[in-house]
Amino acid sequence: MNPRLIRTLAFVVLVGIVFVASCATFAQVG
Amino acid sequence: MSGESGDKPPYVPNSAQRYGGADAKPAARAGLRNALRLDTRGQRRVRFRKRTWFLVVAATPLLFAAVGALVSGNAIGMATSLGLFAFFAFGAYLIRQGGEAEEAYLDRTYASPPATPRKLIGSLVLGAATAMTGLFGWDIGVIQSVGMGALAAGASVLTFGFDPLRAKGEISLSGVTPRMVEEAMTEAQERIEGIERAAADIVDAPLRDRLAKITARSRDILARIEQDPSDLRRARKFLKVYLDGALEATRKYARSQHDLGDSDMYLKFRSLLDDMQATFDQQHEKLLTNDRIDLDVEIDVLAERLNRETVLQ
Repeated sequence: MNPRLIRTLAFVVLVGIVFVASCATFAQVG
Repeated sequence: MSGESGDKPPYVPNSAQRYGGADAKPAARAGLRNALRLDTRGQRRVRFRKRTWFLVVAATPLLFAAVGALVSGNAIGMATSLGLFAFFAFGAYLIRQGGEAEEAYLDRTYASPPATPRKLIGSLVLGAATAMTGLFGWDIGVIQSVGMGALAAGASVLTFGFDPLRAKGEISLSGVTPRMVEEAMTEAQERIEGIERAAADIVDAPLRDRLAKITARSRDILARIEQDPSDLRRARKFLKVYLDGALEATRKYARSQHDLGDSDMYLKFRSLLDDMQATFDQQHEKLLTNDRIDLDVEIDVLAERLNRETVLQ
């Protein structure tokens, strides 16, 4: 697999996790 | 080589590599290894800056959560959300710092690794921040939180890679270690910068020009030695004596130029600079033609000259 693709996918996963966790925290507070 | 046809590995169709099966694993593993490998071709260089920003942006809902908690009078909730956001920002900051350290490392032929592996620590901080967000913000329980944190840390390591961990550069046959080259280069750089600072104070433009040429040539010589440091021990002596001499002379001249006006000292300093420029050009020429630097004689000559004139006493 193309290393660049792996890095990009990993980055998308990372940003996704951070974003979802942050949004969920916001939802809990709301 | 046609004679080795008997040793060829058995034929494996491309489809087997692409669509799985036992033969697909080495290829996938190689891709993973390459993704983690040090970024020698600069592919990650530009991207790590943008990506760390993206991370901070992805965590901004925490700021809104803090505002929401404030509005509803929940001080602890607000502090938690702000703290979590700060934690994410800190992780992104560490990764960014680590990326910059890696760039500096990659730009040099000989370099020691950064003292702290900031990218790796940043990734761990991001993982911990995610786990804590799961635990205290999202409220999903310990096991899920820790799993999510581990996933985030792993994804971060894959995205940003490891920090350089080993000293860079090869040990040459003459026993010159990368560390020696790095030290010599750093020392020489400092001296060149010192000459440039002192030269900036010199009023006379032709003298400044000569000094600029000398420092530019010194940099060429440094770059050359960095490419092929086999002769470093003697080259180091050369760098030290010449650059120290130039630095001292320039400083002294800059300090006393106004007292002496256009006197004897000006002429002496100018002719010293001319000689130095000629010698530096010669040395560079020799390095280019791969002659061993015939330093010792010239060092003695110059050292003696510097002592005699001490331009400048």
